[in-house]
Amino acid sequence: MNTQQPTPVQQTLEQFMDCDDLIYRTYPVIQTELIFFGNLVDYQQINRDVIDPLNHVRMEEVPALLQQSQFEQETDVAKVIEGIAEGNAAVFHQGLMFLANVYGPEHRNVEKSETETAISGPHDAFVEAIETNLSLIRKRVRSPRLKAVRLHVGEIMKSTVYVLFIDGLADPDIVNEMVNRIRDIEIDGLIDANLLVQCIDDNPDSIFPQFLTTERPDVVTSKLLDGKVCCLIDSSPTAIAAPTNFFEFFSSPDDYYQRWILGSGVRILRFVAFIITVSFTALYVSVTTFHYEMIPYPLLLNLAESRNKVPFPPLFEALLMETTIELLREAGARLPAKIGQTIGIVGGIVIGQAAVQAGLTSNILIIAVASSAIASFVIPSYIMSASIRMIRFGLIVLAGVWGMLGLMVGLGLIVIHLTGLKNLETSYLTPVAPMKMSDWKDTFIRGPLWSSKTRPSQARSKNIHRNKMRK
Amino acid sequence: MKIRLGLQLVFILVLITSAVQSSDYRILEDLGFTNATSYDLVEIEEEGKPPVMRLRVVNSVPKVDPEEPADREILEAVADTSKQARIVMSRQTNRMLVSGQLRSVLFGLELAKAGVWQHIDTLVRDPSIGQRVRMVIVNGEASELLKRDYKAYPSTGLYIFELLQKESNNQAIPNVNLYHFTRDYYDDGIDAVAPIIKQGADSITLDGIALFHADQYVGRIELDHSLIFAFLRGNFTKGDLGMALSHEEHVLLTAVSSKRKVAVKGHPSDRDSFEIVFHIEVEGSLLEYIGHKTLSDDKGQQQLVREMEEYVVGQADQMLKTVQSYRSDCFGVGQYVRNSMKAQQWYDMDWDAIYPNVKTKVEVSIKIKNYGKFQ
Amino acid sequence: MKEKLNQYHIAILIYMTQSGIVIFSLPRLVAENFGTNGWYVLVIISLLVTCNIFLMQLVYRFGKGSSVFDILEQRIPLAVLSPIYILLALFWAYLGCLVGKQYILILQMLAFPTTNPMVFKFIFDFMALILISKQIYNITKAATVFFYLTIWMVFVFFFHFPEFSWLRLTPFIGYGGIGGLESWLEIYIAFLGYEVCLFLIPYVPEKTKVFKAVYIGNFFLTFIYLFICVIGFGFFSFGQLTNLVYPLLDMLAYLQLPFIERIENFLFTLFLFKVLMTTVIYFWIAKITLSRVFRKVKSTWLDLSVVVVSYGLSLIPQVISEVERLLRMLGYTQIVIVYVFPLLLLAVIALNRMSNRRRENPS
Repeated sequence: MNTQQPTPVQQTLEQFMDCDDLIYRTYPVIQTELIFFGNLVDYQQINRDVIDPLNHVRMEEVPALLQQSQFEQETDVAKVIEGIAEGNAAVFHQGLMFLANVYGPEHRNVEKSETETAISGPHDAFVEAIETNLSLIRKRVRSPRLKAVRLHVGEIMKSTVYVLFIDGLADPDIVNEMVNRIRDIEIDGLIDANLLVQCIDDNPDSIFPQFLTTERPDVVTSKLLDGKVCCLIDSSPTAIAAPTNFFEFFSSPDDYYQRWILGSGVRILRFVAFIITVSFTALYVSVTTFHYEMIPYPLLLNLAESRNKVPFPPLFEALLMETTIELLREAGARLPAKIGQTIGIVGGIVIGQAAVQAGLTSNILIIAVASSAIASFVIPSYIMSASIRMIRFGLIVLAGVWGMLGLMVGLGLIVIHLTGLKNLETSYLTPVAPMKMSDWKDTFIRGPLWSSKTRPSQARSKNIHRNKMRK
Repeated sequence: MKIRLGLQLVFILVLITSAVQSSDYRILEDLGFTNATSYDLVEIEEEGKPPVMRLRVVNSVPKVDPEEPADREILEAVADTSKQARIVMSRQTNRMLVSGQLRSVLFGLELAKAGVWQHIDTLVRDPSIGQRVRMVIVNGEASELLKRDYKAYPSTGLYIFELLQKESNNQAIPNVNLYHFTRDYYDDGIDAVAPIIKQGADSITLDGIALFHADQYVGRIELDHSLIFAFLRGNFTKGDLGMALSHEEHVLLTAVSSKRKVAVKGHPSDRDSFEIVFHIEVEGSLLEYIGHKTLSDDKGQQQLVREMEEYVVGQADQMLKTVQSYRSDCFGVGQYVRNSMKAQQWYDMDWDAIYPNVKTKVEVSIKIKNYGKFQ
Repeated sequence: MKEKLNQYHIAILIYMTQSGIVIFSLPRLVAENFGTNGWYVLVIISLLVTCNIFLMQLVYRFGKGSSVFDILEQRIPLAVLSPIYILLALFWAYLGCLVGKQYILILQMLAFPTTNPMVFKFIFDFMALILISKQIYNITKAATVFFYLTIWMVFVFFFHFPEFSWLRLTPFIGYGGIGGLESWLEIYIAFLGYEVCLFLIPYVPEKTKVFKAVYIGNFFLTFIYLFICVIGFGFFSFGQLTNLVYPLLDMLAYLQLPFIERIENFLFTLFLFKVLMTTVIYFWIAKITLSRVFRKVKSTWLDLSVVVVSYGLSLIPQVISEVERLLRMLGYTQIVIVYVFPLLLLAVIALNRMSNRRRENPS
């Protein structure tokens, strides 16, 4: 007579077969069973909400207990199973099933960000727990207008994604576009926000990142106030902001915390650094291969003498040195901190010096390559600076084959590519193209606070004017 | 999509083919960049033939290998044209001869007298040669000067260039490069000039200013009068003027700045009333005075200024007469005359014929900015 | 969100299309053709251009914002128009590609004396192909960025002030020039490019002061041309100016900075973007003309065919003088087209109106 349907508990336990970390507790006195993952629950909460009450309750009080708000009744076993996998505690009593949300796994404490640092200003950064991250934002934006739409992404991982926006500031079309794109993702699981970004990109094949990613809640807050839409993903310390343009990748929160003139100066410096890092080595290659007449006389003999010892043409010399620097950089990223510093010094100084003396490169090239490398670190966004590094190689090759023309062709191709990029259907090169002069005070310079009367046009906010400031 | 991929592949293919096949590489250390070139007219005697004038061209090419003994190569050729000579010279060196870094070009005096335009034309036509190449006349054989190494000084090509640059800053010689020469050669209201240098015992020295009529050398101004020349030629802000006012009186003005205005009075058709007036305003610091006057009171100062002005006027008048006798309109008087009359009159008039007899007048006003820090 | 063009961009696009390689020889052309102080003709020609733009504005107004092709096709059957369209498209593509070829040949003379110019033409056409395969909106955006990249070159001319002299301009007007109809036409060619505004009409949002932007673009171009010519006349003596083939090049070569010199190579290669813009716009006009004939063909094939055909055609003239001669001839033809076309359109619009009215009042 064992054609009896398995009880819910049996079904659940069967689904979780071989999950030896599952905790199964029985309370025979009150005919209640408890199933949960010990490593997913917050012990304080589960003790307080579930275990302690169950320990002290009598049989007839159990239904009343189970009516309390922390218990949600479920009728579908599949949902209960899902719930347990998501960190709920499942309570089974006389054929009824209840779920209690006691999710609270281990996570890192809120610490400083390693990759995005600011000199002044808040130092807290996101961690891998989405609720903690959301709390960092909610405690800053204490308004009911801060909306958090919850979505789930990933068939197996079922990660929680929150789409954040401030109602009344963000453009509803953009919010919908964002939500729809995330809903449409078909994938097993997203491990990090950077992967999410690649799934919802307008141009996934481009070398340039289109969504802004950041680990800092203050950046997210300022984007929200601009009328933009942000996303948080569970188990990722990175948040996404959109719509973004190319120039936003060159701004750092520090610009805003300092005086505006200083902030402007630093921002201009960053654009100069961008130009240097992309073109300096290529310029060197094109001048020494084709355009010797551009070198001013005092430099000419020095340069010629130092190049004299090198057996390869400038193109190979430059590619060799650039590759070496990339190797150093990549190696430095993998090394444990203690060895990292020594190797850095060894690599940088010794190899550079030795290469010059051995006649493998000229010292002026070392300076060019080193300044390019240093300039590339000036760009606040790591992903953008990584993209730019790749472009540099392309430009060097073009400059080595076609001189100045090659450099211009490379530049032209980059510009053409950039103008075709979009982010959430808005142009990537706003506010240069399409042109919005009023936005320029926060693009190439950082204008004073009293002049920032309108929100950036790319967000297409319906509420353009910020609240007034005295002036 | 596939088309785009295909195109990108073709692009890369073209890139690689270009890289491998390019014959336009001008890699820095393989080049011999000529620093200075000299042109001379020489008489070549060949057996059985009458002597013929040909061109001697010398190129000074700095070396880049610090381990080689000499710091430059000297290439020499005798040919009919400068480009032919270049072909001969390129066979004498192991590097590719290029002229993009040319800094100065020297012409021997004989060649200057015969006319320099053909050679300047070649230089200006070449797109790799810049506009700022300095031009200089050598009193004697330019090739001798260029071939010699001057021990106390850097490589001769560089030496010449730096000398010219420094001295033109002081108005000791005018700043003349290919652009200036071409411009003034083609302008019917002004004639070109050029500095002159010559070989000294162990160095190169300035020797004056060369005056041209069209492209031929017609005369010179001595070095002592170079500042007067500068007053008459245009505005400037740096120079030293030494004046010997009388037997025992000597004055030196430094930090001299000068503005010149030229006024045309009357009309060339009426000889008597036609006059060119130069009005020059000079300012300077008086740092050296040897003489009897007392500089601490107004009367002495005013007298000194008057005497200086008379001196300058006298010198300038003299210079104008000299220059007119050479038929060289080096001060651009013609430009002002052109501005004062209608087009048809200017083009009908033969300025070249009128110029040597034109009446000129010079008015000078000197202001002493300060007398130094000693009374 | 379909994007539309806006005023700033149109003005910049017009300027970039008009500004091409002619500016390098413009001071000489003006001096050779019109003598001393010949730059005054630029003002006159600019006014003529303004009148022409006005004609086009009338087409916009009376055509009520419909595309020029729609207007023509209302009246004239497609079978008659198709060969005309194809011919025109071919003509415009050839014009665009010759502009590029001239630039390439000059570049080759400057920096790559022994390389085959068709290699550079290939790169140039490659870039043009990528650009025209994007929508006009993106082309305009690219034009804007290129504009900002090249406009700072104007400041280079501050270095010429020490050697500039008003005396050299002479007080005479018009001496030493050739004059005559061909002179006027030759200078007019320097202003061509504004006719693209006719083809932009369907892409602008309604009720924009589109043509105000076109006037501004033309005005800006005139200003730049005047600026450069006046400086050219004052920097070089008249005789010198008539002998310099590309006076702008020599002016740029005069610049000297402590850390770099002879940047005319660099600045000349920067002009690549301006010339590219001109070529791309002509290719684009050719493409949309072709697309009226071959409606079913995918746009990528049209792009490819325009570029490939023009690359092939550009093989014909080999040397600079041939290219310049051909360009002159094509330019004269384009001047004729540019006046006839809007007049034709206005006539068609008038006929359309009359026939509409007749349809409404059959009597």
